[in-house]
Amino acid sequence: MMMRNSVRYVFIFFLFFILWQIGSAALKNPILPPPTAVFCNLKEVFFSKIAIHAALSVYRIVAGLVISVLIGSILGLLMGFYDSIDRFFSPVIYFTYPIPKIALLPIVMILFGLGEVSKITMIIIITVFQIIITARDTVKNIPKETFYSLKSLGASDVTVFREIILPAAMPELLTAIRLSAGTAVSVLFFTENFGTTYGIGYFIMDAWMRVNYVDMYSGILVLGGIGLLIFLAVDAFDMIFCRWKR
Amino acid sequence: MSKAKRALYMIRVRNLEVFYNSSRRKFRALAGVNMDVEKGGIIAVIGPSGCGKTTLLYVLAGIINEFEGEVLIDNAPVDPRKHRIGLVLQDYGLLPWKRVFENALLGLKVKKKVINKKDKEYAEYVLTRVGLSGLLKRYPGELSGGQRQRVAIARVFIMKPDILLMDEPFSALDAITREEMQDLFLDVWKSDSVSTVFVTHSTEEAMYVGKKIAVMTGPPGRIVTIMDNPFFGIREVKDSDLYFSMKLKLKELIKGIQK
Repeated sequence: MMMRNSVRYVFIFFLFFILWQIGSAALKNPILPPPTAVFCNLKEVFFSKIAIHAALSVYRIVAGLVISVLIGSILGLLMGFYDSIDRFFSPVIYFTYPIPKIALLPIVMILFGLGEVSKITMIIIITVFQIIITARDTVKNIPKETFYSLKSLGASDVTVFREIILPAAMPELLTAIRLSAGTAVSVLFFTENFGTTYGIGYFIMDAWMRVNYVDMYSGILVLGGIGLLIFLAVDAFDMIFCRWKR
Repeated sequence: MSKAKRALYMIRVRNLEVFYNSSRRKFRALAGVNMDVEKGGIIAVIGPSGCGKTTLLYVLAGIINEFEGEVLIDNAPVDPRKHRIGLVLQDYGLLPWKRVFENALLGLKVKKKVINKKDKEYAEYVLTRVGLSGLLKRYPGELSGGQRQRVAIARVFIMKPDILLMDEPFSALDAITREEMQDLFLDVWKSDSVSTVFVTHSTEEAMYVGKKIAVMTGPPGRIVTIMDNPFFGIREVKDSDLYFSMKLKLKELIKGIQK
């Protein structure tokens, strides 16, 4: 099963790169270099030039996502379970969710400086909402009969959270994390264009300015690879915590 | 009431009234229900759907705790934290993310916190007795309806409950499995004799599993009559005239006040 999975991945990537190669040959323009050139470049400069950018970007995304998931799921699950908490926070969330948080970047930068904190904060304030709302709605959708057995046993709220709410919400939460991971990569790319000389976003934009398209595509490929790794990590959690779903 | 008489009953329900608050008006679900269950008794509660049987059971289970009247379990007001209440629901009440063995131990886990080796051995014994020995590592989603209901029954007996509440536990099963489960239930019940309220909408089931039969009508739900059942636990009925006349009487009682 595992073997077949990796074979499938290799096959699909191979197909993708063949299409890219054909496109590049047809276009005959340096703006779309052939994948072979990009791979050769990656092999040469990945450790010397790209690795440090990639590492910092991974750190920012993972830190942002982990904090966002912690805040989002705790608040969302509580809102789903306790009506009083929901009644208080829902209006706040409905009002602040639609505000384009990207527009707050200057403010965040003034508040938290140009460093890591402001980049991680941006990821959090953009991704946390879909996690809160998903967590809340999942809990609200658990059929109330599910709680009856535990209620008749006199279970405390803590027990109900541990035995029912968390496991019931887990599959939906993982979906929310997948969506947030995609968003987080985009946000990261944007924030790395300001006030830093490190990060894969900076590397890509810098390569573009230097009109070094091969470098630029190398950076884009690495960014895609980071996204892929995050998704695979979430899938691994899925395998561990949601086995009952299969 | 005398002390001796008090000690006789495990469950006492006095003038029970339950109201549901829908958006505009108060809905009276139970109207003055009186019912007693002796220690080691099984009372089958029978009635048409919507008559309030389930409401009555939920009050006994501590799920509905806004009511008027008196509900005593072992002479104390019902309290799921104090009493051990075994509840078996029609949709099995199993948690889909727990394996059979974890589900079966859930009652004990919530009640006792710590589960020792002896508990586990007893759980395995009960699970084997209900015919689940090979399926302990399965998830509920991988079991048939009958198997899931076996888990639910094993779970309540494993926690050694003070009272047992069954809410149409077998009505979603096919006829053959249902009879099998009724036999299994009585078989396990006989070794424990825990006081039981068994809600059903089938007269045959009520006459097989109930030492007493309470007929309920509604809404608002009230108990019309409680009768002794001479056919308790008897599959092969000898006096079939009496059996069918009783069955007919039950059916008429259920229908009678519905019109």
